[in-house]
Amino acid sequence: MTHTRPSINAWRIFAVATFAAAAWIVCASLTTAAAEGSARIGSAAPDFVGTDSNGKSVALKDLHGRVVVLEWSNNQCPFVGKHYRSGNMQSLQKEATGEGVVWLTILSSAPGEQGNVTAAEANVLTRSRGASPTAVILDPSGSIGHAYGARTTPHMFVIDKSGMLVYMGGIDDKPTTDVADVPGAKNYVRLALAAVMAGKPVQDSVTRPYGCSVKYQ
Amino acid sequence: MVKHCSQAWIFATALVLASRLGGAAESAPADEPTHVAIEALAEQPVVRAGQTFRVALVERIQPGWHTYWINPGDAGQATKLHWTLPPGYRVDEVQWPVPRVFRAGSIVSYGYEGQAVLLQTVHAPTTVSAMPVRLSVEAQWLACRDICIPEHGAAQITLSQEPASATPPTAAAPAIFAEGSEHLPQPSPWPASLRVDKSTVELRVRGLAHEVPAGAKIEFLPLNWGEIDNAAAQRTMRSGADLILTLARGDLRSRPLAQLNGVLVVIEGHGTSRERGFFLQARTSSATDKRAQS
Repeated sequence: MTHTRPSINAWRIFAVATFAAAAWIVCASLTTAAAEGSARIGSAAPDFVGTDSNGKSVALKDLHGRVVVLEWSNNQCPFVGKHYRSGNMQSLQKEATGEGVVWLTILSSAPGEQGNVTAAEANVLTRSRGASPTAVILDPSGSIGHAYGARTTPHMFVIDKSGMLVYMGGIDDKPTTDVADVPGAKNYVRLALAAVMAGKPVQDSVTRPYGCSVKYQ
Repeated sequence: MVKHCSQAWIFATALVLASRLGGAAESAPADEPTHVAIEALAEQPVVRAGQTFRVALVERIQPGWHTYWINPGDAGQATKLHWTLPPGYRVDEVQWPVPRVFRAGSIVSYGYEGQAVLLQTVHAPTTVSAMPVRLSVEAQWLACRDICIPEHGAAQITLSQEPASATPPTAAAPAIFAEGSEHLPQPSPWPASLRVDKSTVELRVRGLAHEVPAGAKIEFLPLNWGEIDNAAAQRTMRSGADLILTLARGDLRSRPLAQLNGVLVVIEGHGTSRERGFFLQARTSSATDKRAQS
């Protein structure tokens, strides 16, 4: 893993400068109503209240009436890297948010684990990758992740305007780390969003999530 | 001239160093040592026309790291092998050894640590020349510890060909092939059936209760994703001669499940434990299927 160390160090240096201001945000207070892994297609999406990388509280129930995408992420996971290096995730975020979808990137890596970042680091990552999620939610306790049964990075969920879970699974049907596989892949999230926006049922509502394991504590 | 050469060398060395350092921040350089060393071996050094023989791709995995089974489980990626063979030669699918179960909290994956031997059968054409042939394999695997790194490598086997010969071929690397064979799952001698409801799968293995001692650890590893919850506890119950495993359904719980394929792992004894794997194909009877769907 020596090849990723320099970038980690860069984040660490940045973190020291902003640590005092950001530290309280990391200690986000979270509440989850659902039991572990209770996410079911056709049922209400497990409710959650999280804190984003700007210190704002984000409650799922406040997003009623909007379509919501949840994206589990870990910036050092090679499967996540595939979708950010190729620009695939960013273009999907732009398309979705452009149509009024709320896109929440959720980081459930525990402190000391790969992909655990401070709020300031999360914001730097968003800028440097040209990402455009509506918000990045810090979930170091893993409570939102466990409520949804998020197992991989990426692991994608789509919630419709009534708060019902309509998609859970992989971002696409090519479970590899190879950027060359992005163009030919069937992007399940894009298809699910198109169906939901058109008021139609999602065809492939449950697919295999693929990637690194979520680095829970 | 000598001076120019040495300057060129210094410049070239500096370039190499700079590119290595520069590249380090972005991705692993191509020559970065991997966490898995691979080797390809054939079961015999000589191949004759029309012969079928086995090849092995050996993964030597660094301590603490693992690679994946054909079903990696909740996360990870199975090793992929791509063979380049001489004309007329063909290779069958990988025969996957019985994997280990890796648990990280609520996330369960299936794979290998230490050494994994991936066996495949190669079929030689009905006519061969007297020239040696080369079988090449490109392997891609995901090496994981607490973190994961995609790695790849290539290996070759060179074999002599004998258009016709009466002498039996000598075995090569018998220990590796014996180890590979020992870890292959065997076809289950016990028939199995399924009962499926909305949240559970009841897997009944007929006659198994009489074959394994009471203390044996029994675990079902699914071949396909989504059919069972990998992380859920598997309840084992004896019912006469039968053994019943109760499994939780997986992400595909809202879809009909008529067949469940996987490997049943039976571990007997402590310390010097004996581990055996059996391929199971369990189907629902139409009656139980109807009840599950209603």
